[in-house]
Amino acid sequence: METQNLYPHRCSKCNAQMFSPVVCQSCQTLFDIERDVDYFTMFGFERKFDIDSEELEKRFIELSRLVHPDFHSNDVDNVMMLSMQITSELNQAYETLSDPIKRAEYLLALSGGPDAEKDKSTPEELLPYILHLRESFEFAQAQDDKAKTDEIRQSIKVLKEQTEQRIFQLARELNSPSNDNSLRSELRKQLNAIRYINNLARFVNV
Amino acid sequence: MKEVIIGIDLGTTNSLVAYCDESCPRVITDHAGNALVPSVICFDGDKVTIGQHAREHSIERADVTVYSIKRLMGKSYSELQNELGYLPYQIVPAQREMVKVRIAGSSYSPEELSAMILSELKRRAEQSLNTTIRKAVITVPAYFDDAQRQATRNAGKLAGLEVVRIINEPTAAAIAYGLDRNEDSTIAVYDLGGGTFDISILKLSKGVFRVLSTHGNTHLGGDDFDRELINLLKMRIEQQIDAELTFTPHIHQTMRNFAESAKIKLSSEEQTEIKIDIPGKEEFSCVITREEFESLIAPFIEKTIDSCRQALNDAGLQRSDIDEVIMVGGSTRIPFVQQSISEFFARDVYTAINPMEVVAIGASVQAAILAGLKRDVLLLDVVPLSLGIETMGGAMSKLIMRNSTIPTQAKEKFTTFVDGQQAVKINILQGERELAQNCRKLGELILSDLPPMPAGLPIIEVTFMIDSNGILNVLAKEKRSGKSTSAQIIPNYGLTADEAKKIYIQAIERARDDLLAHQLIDLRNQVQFDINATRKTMSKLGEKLPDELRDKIEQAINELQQISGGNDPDAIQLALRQFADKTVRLAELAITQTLTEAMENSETELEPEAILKSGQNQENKSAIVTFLPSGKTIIARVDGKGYGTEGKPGSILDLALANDVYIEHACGGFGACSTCHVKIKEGAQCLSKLTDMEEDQLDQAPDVSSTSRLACRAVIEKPGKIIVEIPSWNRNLVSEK
Repeated sequence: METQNLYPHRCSKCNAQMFSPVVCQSCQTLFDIERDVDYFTMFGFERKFDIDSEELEKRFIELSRLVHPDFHSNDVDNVMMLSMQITSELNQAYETLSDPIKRAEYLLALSGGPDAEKDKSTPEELLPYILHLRESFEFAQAQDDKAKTDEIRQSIKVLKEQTEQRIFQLARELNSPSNDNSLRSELRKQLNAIRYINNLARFVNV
Repeated sequence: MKEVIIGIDLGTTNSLVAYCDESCPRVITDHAGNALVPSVICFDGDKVTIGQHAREHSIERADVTVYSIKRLMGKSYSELQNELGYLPYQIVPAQREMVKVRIAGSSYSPEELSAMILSELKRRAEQSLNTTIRKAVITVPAYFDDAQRQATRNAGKLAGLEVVRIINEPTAAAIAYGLDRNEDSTIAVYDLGGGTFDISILKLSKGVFRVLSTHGNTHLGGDDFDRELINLLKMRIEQQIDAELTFTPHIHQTMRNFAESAKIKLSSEEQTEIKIDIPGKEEFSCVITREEFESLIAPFIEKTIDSCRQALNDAGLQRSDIDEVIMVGGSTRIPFVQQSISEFFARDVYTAINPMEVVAIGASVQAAILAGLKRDVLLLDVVPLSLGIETMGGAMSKLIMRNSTIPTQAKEKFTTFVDGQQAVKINILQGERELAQNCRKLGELILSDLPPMPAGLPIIEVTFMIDSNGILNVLAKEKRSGKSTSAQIIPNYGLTADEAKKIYIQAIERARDDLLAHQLIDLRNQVQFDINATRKTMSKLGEKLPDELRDKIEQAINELQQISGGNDPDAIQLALRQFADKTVRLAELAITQTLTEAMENSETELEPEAILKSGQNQENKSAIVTFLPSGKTIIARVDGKGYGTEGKPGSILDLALANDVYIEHACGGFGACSTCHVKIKEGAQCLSKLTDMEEDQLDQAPDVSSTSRLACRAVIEKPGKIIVEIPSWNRNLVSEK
C-alpha cells in the first residue's frame, strides 16, 4: 500500500510493515483486534471525516482477500474463528465508513458524543415542517395534483441535501482541536433530523 | 492431494453436481452424458429409485413418487397449507412445526428425502472422479431464510456430506458468468427456477464478486405456472364432462406432465393442443394459446419485477446502472419472461450460458476456493433478510439489517426480571416487518446457567453472528461474572442439532453395517484364497517339509477356516497375519521351487514378483527388467534366449517387442534412428557399454539425459535389476499412431 500509511507497526511474526492491525499482508498472520482499534485504523486511515472512497474500497477488497474465511477454511479452528470475527468486523467497518451519514454518526460516537437513544432532540421547527410537508403531499395526492406533489418532492429533496451538507460540515469540524460540546450536540440534532427526513423521502418516493 | 470438494445445485425440479480442479470447472454427467438428475424419488417396494428413472415412472407409480421436495425444506405445516392440494403425495404434521411426507407406508422428513437426492449426486461424482467424497458446497436460493439453510445443511449431513458452504444460487451463477471476464461491471442475476425466484445485484471487479443486494420469493417458480395450467385444464375438462374431476395421484401426475409439456411447447410455438384419455368418457382435447399462458403467468412475473425494483433500491442503483442482466433457471427459457425482464431493465438480457448448469458450475468454483485450489476469486455475499429479536410488546428489534455483507455480527445486552433468575428466553426473528407476529420466528434462544443475582443486575452480552453460510450462530457471556453462558437455539422449524445428530448416527450405523458386511466378504475371500494356495503348494511340495511342520500347517488351515466363520473383521485380519507367519517356510520353498523351474525352462509361466521378493536373482542368469511407466516386469535371460534374435544376444528393445511393451522405433533395429532413447533409471551396469556411434546418435536427439540409451542397442549382459523408463514423448508417438 503506497499511499498514506497510518498504522506504522511491524508484524510481530515476520517484522514486515503492516497497514492494518488485523492482518499482516506479508505473512498473512491474523491478529486478534483489540477493543480500541477503530474502523479508520483498521483500514490504515486517519480518523477524520473526509476519506478517499475509492481507496477505501480498494483496501476493503485487499484486506478481505487476506482475512476472509474462504481462504482460511483449511486452517485450525481458532484461526478459522478469528478469520470469521475479523471479517465480520471488517464488513461492518466498511459499511460504516462507505456511507457518509453512518461515518459521521460513528465519528460522533468516537468523539464521545451522545447517541440517538440518549439525545433525541431535533432542530427547532423541523418536526412541524415535516408534518406539514407530509400532510400537504397526501392532500395533493388525493387531489391528483401532480404539479403540487412534484413541488413538495422538490422541497423534500432540498431539505435532505441541506441537512446532509450540514452534517458533513459539522463532522469535518469534529476533529479540529476547538471541538466542543455544542458542536457535538448540534451534529446529534442534524443526525436525528436526517432520519426523519429520510423516512419522509421514502414515503413520497424521492 | 487436496480433498475433493464438489459443488451441488440441489434444485426443485433438477439437481446437478460439478467439480472444479485447478484449471476449470465441469458438470459431472452419467454414462449417457446427462448432467441433470431430476429431483424425483420413487419408492417401489424396498427399492428406492432416484432421478431420471423415477421421473419416467412417475405416472404409473404416482402414489409412491415424490418431487419438488425443496418447497418443503424448512417450512411449517401451516405455511404449506396452500400447497397441499397440489401435491399428489401426503404431507402430515410432525413434532413442533415440522412436516413429514407419508409415502409407501413410511414417513420421511424433507431433509431425509433431499438427502436421498444428495446421495445419488455424491455417488455419481464418486464414480466419475473415482474417489470418496465427503465434502460439498450446496447452493440455495438467495432468499432462503435461516431455517431453510439449516435444513439444507442437515440434508447434506444425512447424505454423509459435510456441507462446507451454503452459497446463494444467483451468486454461484454470477461466478460462472464472470469467471473469465475482466472488465468491471454491475450485473443483475435473475434466477427463476422450478420453485423459487431470486434477484441479486452484484459488482464484478477483477475476480471479486460483491453482492450489493438480493431479493426474491422462495415460493414462486415454474411449479406455479404448471399449477395454473393444471387449473385451466381441470376447468376445461369439467366443462366438457359436466362433472367434477377428482384428483387421484394418477390423474394429478398425468395432468402435471401435460401441463409441463404444454409449457415447454408454448415457448417455441404459438399454441398447443392437449389430448387426454379420460377413463369411461370420450377423449378430451383442448387448445391453449401462448397468449392464454402468458396471461396466466403475468401476475407471477409482475411479482418478480417488484423484487427487482426492491433489490435495485437496496443497492442504491437505478435500472440504467446495470451493465448486464443474466438469466438463470429453467423458467427463464419462457419467452414472455425474457421479454418482460428485458423491458423492465430496458436492455437485452443475457441467456447464452446454459441456464441449467451455471449454478452447479459456480458452486464447484466456490468448492475449489475452499479446497485451497483457487485464490484468485473472492466472493462477498449478503444476508437476504434482517435478523432481530422480539422485544417487549411484540415489536421486532432488528440487530442485523438485510443485505449486510456476511459474515457479520451484532451484540446485544440482556438482563433478568426476577431475583435469582437463572435463564432467559428470547425469540429470534427474521424478516422486514415491524411486528414480531409478521416476521418469521426462527426459534427460541435460551440463555441458561446464569449466576443467581438480583433482578436486572446480570448483563448478558449475546453475539449474534451470521456466518459465511448465512446461518445464525449465537455466543453469550455474562459480563459481571465473565462467565460464558449456555446459549441454545431451539429451532421452530426443522431439526434441532440433537435430532440431526441422532438421524446422522443412525445413518452412519446403517452405513457401518454395510461397510462391515463388505469387509467381511473381502476378508473371507482372502481366507479362501490363502487356504487354496497353501493346499495347492502343500500337495506339490508338502513331502519336502518335516512332518511336524506339515501338521502345523494343516492345523493352521483349520484354525483360519474356523475364525473366518465369525463376524469380527479384526479377528479374521489377525488370523490371516498369523497364518502367513506359520506358512512362511512353505512359501519360501514355493518361491525357490518356482525360481528353479523358471531358470530351467524359460517357457514356464514366470512370476517376477516372486523372484524379486526372493532376492536370489543375482545368483542365476536372469535379469529382472521393469518398464516404466506401466511397471511391467519381465524376467530376461542374459543369453537373450526367448527374445534375442538368431545368433545375437537380445537388447532391451528386443525384450520389449517380444513382450508387448511399446517403444517407438523407426530404424528397423539398425541403430540409425534416434527416437527410442530410453532412460535407464537403475541397473546400467547390467547393460552393454554405450558405443561411440550410439552416443553420436543420442547427441542429435532431443530430451537426452545422462542416463539415456538407445534401447535397440542396450544388450542385457549381466543379471540384476534393471529399471527402464520410456520417455513421455516416445509414448506420445505411440499413442498418436
